[in-house]
This record gives sequence, C-alpha cells and structure tokens, in this order.
Amino acid sequence: MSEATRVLPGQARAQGVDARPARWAVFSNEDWWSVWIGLLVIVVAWALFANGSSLKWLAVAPAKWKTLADAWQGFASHWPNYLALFAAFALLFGTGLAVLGHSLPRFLPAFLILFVVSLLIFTASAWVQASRYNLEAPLLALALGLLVSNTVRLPEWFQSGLRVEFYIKVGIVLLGATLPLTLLFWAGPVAVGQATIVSLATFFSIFLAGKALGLDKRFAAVLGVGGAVCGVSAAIASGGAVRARREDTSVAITLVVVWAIVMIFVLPFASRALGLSTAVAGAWIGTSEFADAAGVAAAQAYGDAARNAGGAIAGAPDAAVQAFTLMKVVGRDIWIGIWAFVLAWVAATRWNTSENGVQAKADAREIWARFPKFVFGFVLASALITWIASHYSLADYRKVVTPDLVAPISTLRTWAFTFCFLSIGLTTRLRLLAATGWRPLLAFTAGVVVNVIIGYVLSVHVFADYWNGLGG
Amino acid sequence: MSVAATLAARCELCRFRRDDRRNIEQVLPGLASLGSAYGASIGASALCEKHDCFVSPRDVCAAFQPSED
Repeated sequence: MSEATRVLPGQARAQGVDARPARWAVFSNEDWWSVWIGLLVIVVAWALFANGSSLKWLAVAPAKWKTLADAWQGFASHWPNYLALFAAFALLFGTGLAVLGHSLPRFLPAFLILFVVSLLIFTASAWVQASRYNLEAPLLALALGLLVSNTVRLPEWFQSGLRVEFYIKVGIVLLGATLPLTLLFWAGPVAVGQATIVSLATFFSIFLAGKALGLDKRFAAVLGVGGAVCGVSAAIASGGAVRARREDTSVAITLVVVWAIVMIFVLPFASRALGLSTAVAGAWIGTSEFADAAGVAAAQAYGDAARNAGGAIAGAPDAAVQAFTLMKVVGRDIWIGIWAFVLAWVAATRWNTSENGVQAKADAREIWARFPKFVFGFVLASALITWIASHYSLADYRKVVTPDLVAPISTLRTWAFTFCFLSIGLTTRLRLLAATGWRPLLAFTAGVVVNVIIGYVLSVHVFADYWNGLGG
Repeated sequence: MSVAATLAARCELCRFRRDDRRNIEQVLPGLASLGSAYGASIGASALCEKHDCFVSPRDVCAAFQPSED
C-alpha cells in the first residue's frame, strides 16, 4: 500500500478540478470515514438491542477498583472482551486509514500500543482515589503523551497510529447518540448566536492587532480564523483559501497548538475555581478552546471531575462535553467553509495579488468542500437514537434503552476520545513547532484574551439558563 | 492570457503542485497534533513547491510548468 499521496490521475486532469472521481468522494477523507464508522457502530448496537442482545460485551471498560489486585482481576476476567474490542477498533480505523492511503503494517502495531496505553490510563482513572489526585483520564493521557514525546525519540512508524482528528471525529459522531435531537434544535440557535459573537470579536481582534503589528494581511487572516473558528483545521482551511505562505500557516498552527494545550488545563481549573456547572463550563470551553480535540479533553476532564466531586460541581457530568460539542461543532466548526470562501473572495478581490504572483479566484464550492462532514454523522446519530427512544416511555428509556443501547455506545466513545487525547500528547513535540516571533504571538494572544472574556460573560451570565437546561 | 491558455496553465496541471497529504503533515509541524491533512477542511488545497504557499487547482501563475504525468 503506497504511502498517502493524492497525485492526480492523468484522466482526471482533463476533466476538472477534483482529483478523485465523484464516486469516491464519500470515502475520500477522515470526515466521511468518521460518519461511516460512527453510524455503523450505532446501527450494529441497535440491531443487537432490537434482537434482545447488546453491544455491552464488546464495549468493555475498567470498573472502579481499590487495590491493584482488584484492577488485575477486572482485566483478567475480561481479557477476551478487550481483545475483541481492540480487533473491532483496529478493523474500523484500519479500514478507513488504509483507503485514505496510510500503511496498515505501520498502523496496526502503532494502534496496538495506543490501545494498551489507553487501557492503562482508563484503568488508572478508575482507581477510587483517582479524583482525589485529579487523575482524570483526558489530562492523564495528555500529560503522559507530552512527557513521552518530548523526552523520548519515538519511531516514525509509530506516528501512523496517532490520528488525533480521526479519533475525535468518530467520538463526536458517537456522542450524537447521547444527545436528543430536540436538544440540538433547542440549544443549537443559542450555540450559533453565542459562537458568532465570540468568533467575530476574536477574528477581528487578532486580524486588526496583526495588521497594526505589521503582519501581512493573509497571515493575519489565517491567525484570526485559527483563533476564532476551529483552530488547526481553520488555519489550514483559511491558509488554503487565501493562498497563505506555508511558513505563515505553520506559525498559525503552532500558536493554536500551544494555546489549545494551555487551555486544556486552564479552563477546567478556572471553571472549578469559579464553581461553574458542567454545562456552563462546557459552553465556555466551546467558545474559548481552539480545537475540537483539545476542547473535548478539557470538557471531559471537567465532566469526570464532576462525576467524582460528590455534588460539589453542579450538573450532569456528560453535560460538559455535550455543551462543548454544541458550541464548538454546531456554533463554530460548521461555518468554516463560509469563512474560507469569504476570505478567499476578499483576498482575491481586495488584497494585492500575493507577492509570488499566484492569481486565484474565490470559488463558492469551497463552502461545501471544506464543510466538516462529520457533523452529519453527529446529527444523524442523534436523530436515530431519538427515533428509537420515541418508542419507549421515559421510564423504560432509562431502564432499558440507556443501559443496553446508549451506555455501550458511550463507552466506545470514551475509548475513541482516550485514543485522541493520548495521540495529542504523543504528537506534540514542542521543539519541532515553528518559531513564532513576538508579533504573531502578541496578535494571537490579543484574540485569546478577548475570546476568553467574552466567552465567559456569554456562557456564565447571558446564556447560563440555556446551558443549564442541558444538564437537567 | 486567454481563457483556454489559463485553463491549460492552472496549478492542477503544474509540476510544482505537491498534492501529498502525508507531506503536508510533515512540513507543517503541529498539524497532526490537533488537525489533519486528511480531513475535509483542507479542501482541494495543496502546496506549491515553487512559491512555498497553498494553491488551489484552478489558480494560475507565470511560473507554470506542465507536469510530466
């Protein structure tokens, strides 16, 4: 299997813009694969449930334990389940990555290591004393990954298993199964409204600060969208849209990565100190985190803290990740195509032709091309489970559907998230990040300050009632 | 440049356009930490080896050289 290339086949060059024939479009990127994998899991779970069985056997996770002997006993009595779970994940992720051009001989051993370490992290966080020492799985995974990747030289082949975005997108599709569609429609407009205010304020803060500091307009725009919309994905989308220099896109990515990792630790800590409920904290994280993966890590860390806090943190634990996802995915991510198109149009018509002489035209097809397709999976998952739930009373839904259908899906989602968090740490090698210079750093930081403050005011004061309705 | 000449000289057909997602992740440190070159957000953008910037398939410039493929 060749390594990932997307060299245009000779025939396609004569036909038009897209490299791949249309029939492959729905298998051509990680977004679509996350939709297929997520929905397949949900459909299989439903099929088993409808036949009186359950995915519970496969969706295994460490139970709470007090002594190491307990932990070992838990693993020993379920090792066939863990083996099957590994095989299922390897098959699902491996198939998608192989079609996308990755090497299976590299991916499989890398993913085996990732799975084993994730199991250890999961187990550690199941210790009854874990919450006392803030050993929430997301933070543990991230910290361990950062420590390893920045002290040990990891082999190149191991990177093949560290597909951060792929894992988080599958996880978000599975998360849709725990969110009723009615909630999406109810909270969606609030998420869009709040996110739009924060995104516009953040973008213009960074863009204008960047211009004032003498940065090239295209560079300032990439920084702005990276901070305002969806982090690294936005940086690459806007970099492509405005035909940014690779070096400038690289700096924007570095700033997003550094600040996103800082916020994984700062936002949950600040939320705890301010006594925020899980949903309100999730909404704040959704406006003020820069990347989906980092935001889910922060939100889940807060949700886990709430689960173990004995009532000290108000709200349902899952509400943190749910609110985050509504704010970040529905409120911010889905607009990236529009941001890219508008900036492409501005760059092509208002700004000077870039120094290198590349002449570009804005193409409205970018809105769809860059749209985060995994959102469809998230909404479809919600719609499917909502439809299934409509056949049950609330009591029966809680007694039967939740433990036998929804809970296993949630467990698989948590696994996908753990793979993601560990991969973030293991891929973030600080010494390899681009040197940013003080001017881009200052411009981006101006946006961080605006983002955090406005996000806090809107989440905690203006729209708090809406968000707390999520956790009820 | 005529329309026909523009279409014939676009980045999609240029030897300097490097449409390689693995390469993009390698030359943009941090991209794979919280993003991906295999997601939808990159669209049809690819790196131009001549200008070291992102280009789209229908972009044009004076440095065009036809690909050998």
